Amino acid sequence: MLGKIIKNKQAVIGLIMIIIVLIAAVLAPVIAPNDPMKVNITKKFQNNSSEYPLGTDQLGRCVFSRLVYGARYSLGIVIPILLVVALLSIILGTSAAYVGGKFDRIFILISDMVMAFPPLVIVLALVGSLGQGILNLAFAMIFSVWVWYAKVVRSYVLIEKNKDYVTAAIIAGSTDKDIIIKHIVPNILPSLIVFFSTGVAGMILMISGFSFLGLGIEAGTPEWGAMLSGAKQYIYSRPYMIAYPGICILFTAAGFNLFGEALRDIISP
Amino acid sequence: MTKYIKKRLIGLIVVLIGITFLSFIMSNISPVDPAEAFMRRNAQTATEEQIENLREEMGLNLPIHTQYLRWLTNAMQGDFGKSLVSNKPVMEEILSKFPATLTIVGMALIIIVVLTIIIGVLCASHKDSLFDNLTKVVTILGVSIPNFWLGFMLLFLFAVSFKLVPVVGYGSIKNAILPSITLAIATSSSSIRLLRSNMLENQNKDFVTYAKARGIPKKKIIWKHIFKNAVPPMITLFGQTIGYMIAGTAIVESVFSWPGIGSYAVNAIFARDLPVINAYVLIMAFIFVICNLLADILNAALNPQMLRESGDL
Amino acid sequence: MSKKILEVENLRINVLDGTPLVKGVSFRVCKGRVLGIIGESGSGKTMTCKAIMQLLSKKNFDISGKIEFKNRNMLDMKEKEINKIIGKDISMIMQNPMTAFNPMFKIGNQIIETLMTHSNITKKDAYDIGVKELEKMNLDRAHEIMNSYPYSLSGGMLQRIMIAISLMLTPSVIIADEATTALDVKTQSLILSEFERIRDNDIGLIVVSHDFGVIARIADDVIVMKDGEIIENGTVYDIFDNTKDDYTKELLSARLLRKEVS
Repeated sequence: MLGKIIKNKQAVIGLIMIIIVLIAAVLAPVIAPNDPMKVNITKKFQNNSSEYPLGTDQLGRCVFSRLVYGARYSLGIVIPILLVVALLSIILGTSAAYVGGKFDRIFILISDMVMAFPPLVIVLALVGSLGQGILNLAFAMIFSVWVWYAKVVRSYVLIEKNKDYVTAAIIAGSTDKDIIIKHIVPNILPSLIVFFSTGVAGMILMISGFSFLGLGIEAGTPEWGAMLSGAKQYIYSRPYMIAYPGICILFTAAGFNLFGEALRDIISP
Repeated sequence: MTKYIKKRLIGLIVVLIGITFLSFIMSNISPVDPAEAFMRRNAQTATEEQIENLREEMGLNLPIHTQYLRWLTNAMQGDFGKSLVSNKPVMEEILSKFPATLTIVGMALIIIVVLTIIIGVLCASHKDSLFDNLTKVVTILGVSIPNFWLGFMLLFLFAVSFKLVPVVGYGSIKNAILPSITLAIATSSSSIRLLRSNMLENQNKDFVTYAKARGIPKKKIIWKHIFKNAVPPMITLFGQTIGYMIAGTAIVESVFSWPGIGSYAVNAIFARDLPVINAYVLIMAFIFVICNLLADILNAALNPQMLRESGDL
Repeated sequence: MSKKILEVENLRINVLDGTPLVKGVSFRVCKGRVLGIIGESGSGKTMTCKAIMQLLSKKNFDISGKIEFKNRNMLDMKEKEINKIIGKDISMIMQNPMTAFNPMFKIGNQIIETLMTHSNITKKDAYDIGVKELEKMNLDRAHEIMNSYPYSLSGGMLQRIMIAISLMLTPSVIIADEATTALDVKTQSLILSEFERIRDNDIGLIVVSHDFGVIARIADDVIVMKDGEIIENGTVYDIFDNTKDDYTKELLSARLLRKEVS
């Protein structure tokens, strides 16, 4: 598996892109030359210099430093959301498929209802009624997407459950817990990683979109979507201020998409 | 076929009831008291008594299930109450916003279908060519690009630098070009890839080999045998996409200051205009479900074998 | 010796990376005779047929040698000329009738499509010819069949429709690639009698099979293929009564063994 990934050009490029963003996020204080929050009105809209590699914004903050810290926000929000969604969907999807019967029927009924809403609408509705803020946004995102993931997990488990080796394990007297943890989950894991990897890209886009609208992250935070939103009034005079954060979002999302899709090709040629 | 439609319609009713439930719950978990919000906004000095009167009038003191039934009965008659901001009937306002949104969604859909068919078929029939590989890179970028950013870049390029189209504004088709393209890029990218891979899958099917062995010309094999069999999954995707796009316009509309349903909803969220949010959610879900249903029915009509396989014939 | 119609000479097929699939195969197909090609899967028999039908893309395969039809090498022909021959003068009966038809179109559509590709007739005439040809194959309710989707017909019916299609343009050569393999024994026997009728029509028939029973019943000449080469050829009597090659003996005894078991 690992060998195949290294041989696949697309996977390597995607992985390198992801690692670059990860490094930026982890080592932001080391990489960033300036404090991303430090306002200095006298130095607003400065051009590129050794002190400010990409110049400064309307409040004299270092654009480069803000972009580097932006990686923290994007990944810092998406990864916890993803972990919760992954956990929730694996538990619910697996039990629905494995237990079957009434439990499965209720799961299907609920998921059909939730899936009747485009995720974006659910997020808008929940943020609208709960109020803005990052926690509400995270909750709304989890609520809007878990069902799509859980349904995919359920279908994977259903396929796996009917395979001969599971039947053999049941005959051999393995407990349900053993079968699920030792057999089913490890076998569906590669497919899930593919699914979640492309999911990360979608979530990064969604979150930056909501920050852009001003519905999640406080204005002024060095988050890419929020930075873009703050820069929109300068589109005529300083278009680069819009260009930079967008490129960062594109780079991150493309990294996850490239990697996820290469992985899919590797798993199911 | 009619049996299939009947079955789907029964399923639709169950889902619709679920939608009204969820919509009601989602807009009623708000910590904000709509009556209080309304009074605070419209009267500078609202007394406790005035608020209480309004609460009574809005039915907020009734038990929750009575509130739901009341809301549902009204909603079914197209009555979603009045906007807390403008004090006008919500339904009226929403209907007035729909044409703007449908314009860009409709145009985006045309762009998507045209791009998908031309590029998808070219890629599948020239697999691994330079064009195919280039398309692969472009479409990966296409699904990774934040659409609000793309909107700004297009604005900057075509309206500010080249001055080809007006910057912002509403009224003519020209104004709708950039928002429609912005809306179309991501979906086109994913549907081009789906069509390409569906067609490549069909290319190796027995019926294509047999068509070749019958001496059917290449063009006809591509369009009639390979392309047409790749269409049903595309219809399912488009059914879902139309619903997604009508909802997804919120972000694009805000970039282009487009006065459609999306920016209307976003403004309502900022204003905590609960009746509007409520109506928006319900209507969006309704459109989404109907689009999906129509796509399934269209598929069933096009592909009778599908019905048989799912045991509905 | 009757008149030859199609001659394959030193046919070689390689995958582009150089892996050989068919290593210099030569044989001829004659009017009114049935040529049986027998071999295990992977022996190159299907590849040889596909090469004759021009179904192998030059993007994936390297093909050399000669496939001579009406004194011309088909491997040198332009696509336009090929299209005039394939499906008309040389037609094919596929292995799996259940998947050979486009599921989205009615049988009639696919019959009319074939007729109109190769002859200048109206849709209505094509329909009438289609009905007549189906009736010749002892298919009742031909009109109904014309208006049916492939999935609503049985494998045996579809196979007979395929034979009707292969015959309706009065071809000189018909290739039947494992055409009876997917069918039950009774239908198999019916289809084989249809093949016997084809032979009587002065058509050169190539029957590809891994089943000696099928070959023994209808072939006049037999070639045995293994690993992309012809290891034995002769008339059906030569092969069955005086086998020289050990491999053929092995194949034959395996067949007999299976018969005893069943």
